[in-house]
Amino acid sequence: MQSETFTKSFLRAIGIASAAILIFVIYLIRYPILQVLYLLVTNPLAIATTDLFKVIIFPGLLYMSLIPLIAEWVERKLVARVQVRIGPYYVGGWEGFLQPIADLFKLLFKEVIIPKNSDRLVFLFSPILAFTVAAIPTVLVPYSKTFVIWNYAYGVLLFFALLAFFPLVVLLAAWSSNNKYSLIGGLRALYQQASYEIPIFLSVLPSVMLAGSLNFIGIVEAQARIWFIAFAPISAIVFFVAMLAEMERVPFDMPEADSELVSGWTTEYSGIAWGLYQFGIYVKLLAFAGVFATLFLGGFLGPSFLPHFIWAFIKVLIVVLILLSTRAFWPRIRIDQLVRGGWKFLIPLAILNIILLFIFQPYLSAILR
Amino acid sequence: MALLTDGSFWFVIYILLLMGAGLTFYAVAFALAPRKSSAIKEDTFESGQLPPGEKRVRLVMQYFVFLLLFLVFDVVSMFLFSWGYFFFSYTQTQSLYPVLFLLFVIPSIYVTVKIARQVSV
Amino acid sequence: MDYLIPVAIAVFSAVAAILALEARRMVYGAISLALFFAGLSLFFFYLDLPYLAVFQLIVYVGAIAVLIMFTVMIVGEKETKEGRLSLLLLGVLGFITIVGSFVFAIEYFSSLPVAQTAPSFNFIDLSKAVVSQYGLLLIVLACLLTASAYGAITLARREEVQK
Repeated sequence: MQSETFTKSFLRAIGIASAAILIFVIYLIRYPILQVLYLLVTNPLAIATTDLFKVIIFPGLLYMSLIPLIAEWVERKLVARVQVRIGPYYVGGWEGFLQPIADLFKLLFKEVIIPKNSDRLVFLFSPILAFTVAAIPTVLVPYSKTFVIWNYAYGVLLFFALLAFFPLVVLLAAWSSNNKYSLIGGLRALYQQASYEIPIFLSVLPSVMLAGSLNFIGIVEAQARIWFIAFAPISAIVFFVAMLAEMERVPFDMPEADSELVSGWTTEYSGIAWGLYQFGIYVKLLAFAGVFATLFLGGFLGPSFLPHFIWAFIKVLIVVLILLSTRAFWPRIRIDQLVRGGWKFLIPLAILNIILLFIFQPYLSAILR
Repeated sequence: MALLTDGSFWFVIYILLLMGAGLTFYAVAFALAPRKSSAIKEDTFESGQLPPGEKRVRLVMQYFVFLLLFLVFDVVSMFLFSWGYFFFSYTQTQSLYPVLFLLFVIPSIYVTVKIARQVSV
Repeated sequence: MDYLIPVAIAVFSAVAAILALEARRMVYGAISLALFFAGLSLFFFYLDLPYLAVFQLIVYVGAIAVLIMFTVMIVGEKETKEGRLSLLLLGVLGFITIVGSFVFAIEYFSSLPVAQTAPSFNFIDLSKAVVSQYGLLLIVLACLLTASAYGAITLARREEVQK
């Protein structure tokens, strides 16, 4: 009975909160909205250059929510074909491509069960936090010189700072749900993310060194002649592996290992709360793929017969596909192998690449400039 | 005065919109979904068993060492970025100190990993 | 309007700091400590010191707050005693002092001409200092930090032997 009254008051509170946020945002961006409305009448093509378009549609919300849905369908189809199954087939006619949207609606109609003795507020708000934190790095990824939401001069450092928030959110979710499996999964996630953050730092360093810039667009423009994967192949591999571990994708999915921990720190979550977590995982996939393409694959650069943003889009999709395919091909490894492997192999490899760059510094400056 | 004057304004708007979207999903789900509480449904999930003992157990901390090591290298690798940013404006002799530091890191990691294997609290 | 942002950040971090001391459950205290660190980094962003701000976020929020929260969760928590009214009063007084002095400082510095306020942040100076003057110190610092980690490990080992 007590939980009944709680859900009612909680519903009222979050309704008011979301309405308040919407009104506040509309108040803040009232002039850009008027500008877009004016452009709609006079010059509809110029809308694509406004900031509001960027935030709402292309590198922003719409793109960021569509690609994960497609990626989930592609992943299920790919894994099914590798395992000689059919996968999603009925929803939407052709090959079941509307299955993720059907799942979203199914989750919306399910009850969010709040377990006994859990910390209700932290339990309910950590999915929203996880989703937000996972989506924020997409702000920094440039899709062309103009299609970037925040072209920050120290974007790489800000990206690292955003990485630092993942383990906090995971720990909160794990602790608040008052379950042994959740806590074990959350602690595993913490160990994993703590161990693989240092390889990420050290493998991004070669790109920063070669470009002489901490800005993502500056890094892309420095790759006009040769992509940085040619100078830093070891770092690219290290970044790729560490990226998989940070996202808890399959070779490194101990925190949610379904067969031993019954999906780890998300054990007690159900309905849309679980859906937000799952959505956050795929959004993170998109964000990390964008960062990888920007740092090592030349970002939006490419032959001039296609516009910049299409090149960026193609590269990001290729990286997303490679990331998804690991789910089908690799077995899960043990937690101690993972933690020790991160420290013993990935960090020395990343350092090796930095030292190679240091040795060949005089030749490099001749090639690059 | 860099806050909220350049692109960071849209950054803040983006975060607000994301949180608003999450809250809206919650509001829709809580309004649409049926609500029925029962003792079994709200109990902690433990593969069908009745959960014994205290829920928030004290767990193994055999990898605590790695967290400490993470703290150390977190600080130091941030200093490396201030060197790497201006990599080409230094000569090789000038950037010897950071590279020496990097070389120093590897054996210390190996020793720590070796000691950590003997710790099982 | 110019004062609105810094005063909002000041209020946020002061409230978080008081909560970090006064929260009944230790986990809430740890969460508010993380929020307080985030508030400090917002200050640094506001003062146009991006490197310091990001350093604050990565090291304090990403490592230290997480470590504290982890320790609280591992060790288990006890609810602290209720009703420490004098401490709360002290906290509120401190809060008023902090916000008041901050507003006063803004008033004071904004009345000065631009040249007398703090010089803007220069990344290359920091970089040169790290490479030349403090290069040796960097290595010594790394030695010291690693030695402290070893110390923690050896303490853990000894405890295990005694059991």
